[in-house]
Amino acid sequence: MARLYKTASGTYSESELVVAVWVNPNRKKGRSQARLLETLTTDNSSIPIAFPLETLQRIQSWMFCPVAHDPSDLDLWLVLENGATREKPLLVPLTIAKKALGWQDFHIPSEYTEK
Amino acid sequence: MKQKVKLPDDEVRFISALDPVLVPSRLRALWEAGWSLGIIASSIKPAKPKSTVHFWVKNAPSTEQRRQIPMPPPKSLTVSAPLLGTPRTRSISPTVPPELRPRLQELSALAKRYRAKTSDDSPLAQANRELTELSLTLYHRGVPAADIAEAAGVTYRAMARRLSNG
Repeated sequence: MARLYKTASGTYSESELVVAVWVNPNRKKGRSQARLLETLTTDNSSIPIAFPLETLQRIQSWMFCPVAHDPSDLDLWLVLENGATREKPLLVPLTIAKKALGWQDFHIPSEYTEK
Repeated sequence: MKQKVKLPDDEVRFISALDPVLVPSRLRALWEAGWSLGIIASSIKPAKPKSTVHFWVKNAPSTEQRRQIPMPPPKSLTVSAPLLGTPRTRSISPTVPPELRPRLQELSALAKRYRAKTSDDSPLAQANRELTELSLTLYHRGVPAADIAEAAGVTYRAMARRLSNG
């Protein structure tokens, strides 16, 4: 049975929650030892934050970001040339992030508050 | 032109319909949840100066809100040195997908018995080649050599050598 997450703005399945990823700009500067990706985390943890997709798509700066529908989309968008950037990240549903990126832990938005 | 972030329409309608005495407490709850004074001030109808909303919020009693507070937007997509509690950017690597681990271990167990003199079409040689190909695919996707080595059950040095020779 698909896992559901209850958040401040509603209840979502894993396919409705996304992480934002883009190619680490240091890789583009030729630092081949730099980690491949960057993502958004909380201040005190390295676990990616998961956001409800419908919330992000209501925000101007996020609404035109590409969304991964298949693990092969990651090969398309997470390449050095013309890949996803900080200004236009790739939004990856948790189901695909688990399968293609191997990540298992996410910071769920119910735990996210700004102070 | 860039569209400004606003409170959700249903929240604005709810505030407009509230008893005016209760409005400052609602605005305070929104502010405490993370909505900025600027967004609140420009969203409510009629719009008010930010200083006015600031005054209301600072002087409003904190009361229990029966209606859910909408989730505030992230402050920025690209903050690398953020304020306390806001999202920050961090470099990160993909890791070995869980469903590939058994295959890596299986191939690794066979490849350990591969020797230079082993026939090219033997299962051991095939496993050795497939392990190299799979490891290189993961490595080119940004998975660290150490993670691949750990998943395959070999030392980092052995995997690094395989990746550099492959």
